[in-house]
Amino acid sequence: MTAAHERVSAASEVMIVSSLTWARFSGVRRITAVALASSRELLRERILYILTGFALLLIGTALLLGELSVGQERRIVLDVGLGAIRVLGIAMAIVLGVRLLEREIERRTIYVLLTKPVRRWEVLLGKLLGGALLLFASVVVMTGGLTLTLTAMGRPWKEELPLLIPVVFLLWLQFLMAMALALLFSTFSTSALSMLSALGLVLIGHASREFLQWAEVVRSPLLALLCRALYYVLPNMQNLNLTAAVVHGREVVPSIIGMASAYVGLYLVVVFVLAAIVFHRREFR
Amino acid sequence: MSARLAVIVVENLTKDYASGWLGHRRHRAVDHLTLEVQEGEIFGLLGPNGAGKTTTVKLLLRLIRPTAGTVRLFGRSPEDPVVRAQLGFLPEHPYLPEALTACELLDYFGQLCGLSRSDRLARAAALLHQVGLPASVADRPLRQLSRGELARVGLAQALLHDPKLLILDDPFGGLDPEGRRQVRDWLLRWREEGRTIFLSTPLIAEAEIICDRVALLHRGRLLACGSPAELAPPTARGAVEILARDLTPQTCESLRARGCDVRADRALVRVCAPASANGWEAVDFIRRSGGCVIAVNPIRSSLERFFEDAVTASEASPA
Repeated sequence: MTAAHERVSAASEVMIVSSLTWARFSGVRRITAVALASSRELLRERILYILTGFALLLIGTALLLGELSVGQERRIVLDVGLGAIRVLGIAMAIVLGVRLLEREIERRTIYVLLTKPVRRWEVLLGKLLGGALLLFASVVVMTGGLTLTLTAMGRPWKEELPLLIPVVFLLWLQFLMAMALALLFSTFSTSALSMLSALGLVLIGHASREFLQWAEVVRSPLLALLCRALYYVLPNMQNLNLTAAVVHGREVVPSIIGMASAYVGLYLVVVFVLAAIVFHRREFR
Repeated sequence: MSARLAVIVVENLTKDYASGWLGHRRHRAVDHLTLEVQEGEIFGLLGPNGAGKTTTVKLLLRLIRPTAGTVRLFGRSPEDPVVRAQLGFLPEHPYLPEALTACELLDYFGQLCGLSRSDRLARAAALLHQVGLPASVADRPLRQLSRGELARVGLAQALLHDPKLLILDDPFGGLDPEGRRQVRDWLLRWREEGRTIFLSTPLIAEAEIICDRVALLHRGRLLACGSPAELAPPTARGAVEILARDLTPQTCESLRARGCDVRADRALVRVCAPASANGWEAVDFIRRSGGCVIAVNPIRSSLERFFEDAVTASEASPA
């Protein structure tokens, strides 16, 4: 046996012991550690408090607007309140989604993090989950503000809250899609460009059904195919908007929530896999 | 005799960076580097700024991908998490999450390394004590710490999971002489504990003291590799280097006759007077001969001189 073979077999013995040590610690625990650290890191972001505070202010202002419209108070408060949560929540999701990775790369703390016994996709998933956790907390606070506002105008919260929960849950799913897209772009682009790209896709996603209608009317089969492809590729935010239902007091059918959740889940998996592939190949110079 | 384990094996490692507006120009940062680091040794990668040391370190850690060549750590890919579990890394600058305290940082990294809560607490306390960081400092956010304190936190995180291999990018950077002495002592102690240490530094004199073997890198190319004693035998104490100008050829010849090494570089003449030649007598002789003495310095470490000569020879030879 040559010296080189002896050295390689000695290395293998060391690594077998190391493999056992590493395997004892599951990926779930590593991902959880990154998620919690990311949430803590994002909690220090001032923009989180500014946007949540601004949303609460708008929801409070809706009460005054409601006073001015006789007989339409509830509708005005819900329209303005849910609109504020949606717009500011998407802004928050995009900004935080980009910041999840950008801070680590900009400050080069990613160097040390990636040399720890953790896979790159585990870091990415942990960061996404950490961001999702924080967005959830923010949605809970904003929904609490809206419920309080409705209570202040004399609506019983026990009636309103069950109607609100499915709507804000779907809003949260919208935020998750926006955050995942922002994270995807931030794996290869600058922060400003990532924010603009994610915002652009989300805005187009609010009119994605238009592409299906255009596919019906255009004459060129190629253009029709392109329109259909865009309909499926772009995030369909319209299907996740149930504001009208809650404004008119209609109950949301559970199957709608299930279908929407499945769609968002699938979309998130595809975006995450793309982000993980890009992040795995990324160099940190 | 049993063969020592080759912990790091680098073969023909090459890294090109694209530059220019369209990325069409290529800049070669590391050029066909081949080296091996044995188990239990302190190995120094030396070279001036821009030599390719940090690029090599990043290639070892797979933070960047090689254009050509291979890197094996413990016989495996550097990307393998099992390898990472045996690897501690200190970056060139203390790039650590500055909002966290040292204790929070060690707890977070301890979780990633699979340490239990009790192990994390015990290891963090022991390491912070070992690197001389008091509890009052360990509980302050990292952004409030000095460069020297951050370097200590950086070393503590690298050692947290008791790795077999330490890769340290410029561990002496930003430290005062006392700090450097402490780091030297720690490195020697960690080698005694059986760890393999790979360090990169531009401070050749520091490396000469502690490294078992060194590799000299210049413009990405390996100029020499071996133990400091093999590469450059120690210089006799008391030797001085005299920088002078306005020396006549006759004066230079007389100095050579006195055992001095005389090298002319444009108007400047460098005279290396060995201890036997008594440097101050050479200084007096230059003055008496009408020459102007600009500086008299104790001679630098032999490895520094070896490196300087190797760089000069490398630049003189065609690429």
